[in-house]
Amino acid sequence: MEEPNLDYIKEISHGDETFQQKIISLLKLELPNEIEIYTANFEAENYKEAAGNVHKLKHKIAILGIPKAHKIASEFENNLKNKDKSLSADFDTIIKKISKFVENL
Amino acid sequence: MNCIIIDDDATARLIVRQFVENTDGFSVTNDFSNAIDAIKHLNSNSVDCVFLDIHMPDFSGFDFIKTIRNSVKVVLITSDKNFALDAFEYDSVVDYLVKPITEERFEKTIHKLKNFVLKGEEPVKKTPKTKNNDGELYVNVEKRLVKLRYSDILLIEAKGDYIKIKTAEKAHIVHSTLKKIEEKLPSEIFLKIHRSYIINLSKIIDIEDNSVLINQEVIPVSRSNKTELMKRLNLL
Repeated sequence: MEEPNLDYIKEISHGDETFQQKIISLLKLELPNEIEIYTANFEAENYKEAAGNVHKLKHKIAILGIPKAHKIASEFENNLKNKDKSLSADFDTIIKKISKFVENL
Repeated sequence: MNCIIIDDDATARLIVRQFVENTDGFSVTNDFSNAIDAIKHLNSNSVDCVFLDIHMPDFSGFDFIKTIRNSVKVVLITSDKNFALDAFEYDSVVDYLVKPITEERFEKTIHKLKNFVLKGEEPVKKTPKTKNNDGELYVNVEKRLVKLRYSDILLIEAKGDYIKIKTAEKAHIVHSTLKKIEEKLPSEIFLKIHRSYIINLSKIIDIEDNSVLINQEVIPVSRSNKTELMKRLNLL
């Protein structure tokens, strides 16, 4: 499976380390909270809200350079709108992976 | 060019800011996590361009576009390409960007913005939704954005720093000017007939000398606006 990375962030920063640090700080701050909200909504079967949470997490997945995971997240978001949970295990794997990556930055 | 960014995701706002501020002639004057705060800002500040996330809770990017004047150019930002199909329904939309934004694609957007704003070109016009009475306007009333259908508005009266928008059911007091709302309303439906009044032409019951009757209210018509009013009537 593809691994999260900072390639995109480095590319758009053009060597601006302040910008890179700001993005990393935001990821560290926002990601755990967004995952917590998603998990609570998913477990409470609030699928419409959970789809919105996945939508927001999708952007973070995208900027961490894992396009296949982004595709799965998009599919999962659409599934949730139809109360279909079938990709939840795959999505959980993705968020665990990006959480670990961001924690270690 | 003064730009603002509206996105509920702080990471996305920071990335768009990075792109904009690295572009000559462009600056970010403010960014907002929700559209309602941005609307308040637009009411009292000059902004040339808005980078706008479509997918936001409570008040979407498309809801936001309906509230702003066309002279403000909008670049839509979305994670979902399907939304982009709706983007050009709106005259103010210049382009859309799909997240994650790439430098190459952003440069194209800047090129379009420069054409539209600096060279005075207009975005591709679609059939306006204001050719009949079906359009709508959102107004800020006591921290709520209230939707008013054009067909429900009888008249608008200037009251100092406020305007009173009257419908058959109630009057909404809004902190704005007659000039601002005149720019927002379709001119084929509404006409300023006095320095303090804009009326919905379809609501006129009768006209006598220098006044019109709308829903039991007599509205003065100034001499300078009378000719235009008479031109707009389907006279037998």
